[in-house]
Amino acid sequence: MPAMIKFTYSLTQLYQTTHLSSGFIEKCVEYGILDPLVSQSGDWLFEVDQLIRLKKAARLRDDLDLNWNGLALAIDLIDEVEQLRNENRIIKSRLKRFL
Amino acid sequence: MDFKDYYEILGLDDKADLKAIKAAYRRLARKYHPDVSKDANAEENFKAVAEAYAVLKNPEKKAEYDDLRHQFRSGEYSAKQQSRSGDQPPGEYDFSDFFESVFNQASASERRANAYSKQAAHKGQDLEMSLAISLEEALSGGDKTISFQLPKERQAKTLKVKIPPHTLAGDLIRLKGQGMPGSGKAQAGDIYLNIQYAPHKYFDVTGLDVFLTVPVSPWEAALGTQIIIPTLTSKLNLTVQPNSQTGQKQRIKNKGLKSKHESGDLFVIFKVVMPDSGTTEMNHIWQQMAETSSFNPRSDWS
Repeated sequence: MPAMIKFTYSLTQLYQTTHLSSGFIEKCVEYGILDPLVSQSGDWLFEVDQLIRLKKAARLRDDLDLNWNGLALAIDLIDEVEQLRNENRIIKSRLKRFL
Repeated sequence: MDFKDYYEILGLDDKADLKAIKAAYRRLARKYHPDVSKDANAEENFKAVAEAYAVLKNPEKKAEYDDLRHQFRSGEYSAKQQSRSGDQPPGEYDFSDFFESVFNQASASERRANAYSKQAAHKGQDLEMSLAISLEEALSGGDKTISFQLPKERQAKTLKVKIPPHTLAGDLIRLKGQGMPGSGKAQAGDIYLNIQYAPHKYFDVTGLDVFLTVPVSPWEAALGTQIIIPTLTSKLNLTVQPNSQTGQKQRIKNKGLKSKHESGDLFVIFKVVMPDSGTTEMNHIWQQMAETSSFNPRSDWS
């Protein structure tokens, strides 16, 4: 199975693949939840991590009934916790080798 | 089929009003949401909470359920139940058999499948999974065999995945058409593999840099020596300088992980280690050092 790592979605491809409305996607960009690249013709291009983020945003909105500011904040904080957990794991592992 | 006590799941007693039910659901949904919690049972707990809320927030369903619960408590409960269709539970989670038997409602995935089949053919759902690779595989690539089970399918699926060189943690690998089947003639969904590093016997990673802790004896640290150290691709001769110290770092350029445009370094960190026990002869030498040296490692404890 060949692996595909670097590829992008257009706005149309993104809502075709997620079944989410282009309105929801645009709102996600407006609130900084998604950060698309801009092509030379001025269209949005979404890298694959943005697709995963978009789905996470949709789940959180549906399940926790969040408003837009709350949703953007939740996603930022989840990212930050994830990053801190990673750092913590690495530091613990390095410390263990040292003691 | 087990009877489910929805009040207990939400941590409430059966006199709880809608406000209390809502508050309990919100609190537990935040706690157990699979995107928020790292708990292994988070998804299961979240489903249970969502199911309990879907019933108790709806006055009609709640009344029906309260009756049933009363019967169950007095020992008259049986699994045959009348049918009724209600509003949709939040999210895209499947509810329990208990729920389906009581409210005769198709599970979330069947409901979606039905909804989609009424429209034009519809692409199948994507799936996200994480895949741990070794640091060697991250640097040089390799073949991985993954095995997984699609929801609602009995047999596990096995796939060989080619990991390209320079794959890093957080990269997403798409396996096209390996997700949930589409409806009608539509294409299947995709699988997204979220790359993680498996813990390594020797190395730790920060970004593209790789760290190796190198134990050295007190005399190696004092006098310096040549040792052989492992790297991600082979082995390497390393000169330990005289008077090396625990915690001291030495950088070996371009021996870390690589991305398309950048190359990380290998950092060697020395750790001076005492032998487990000394012979009389060794103790004699230490004794001589103790008498010769004025070194006080606690000189800053005034």
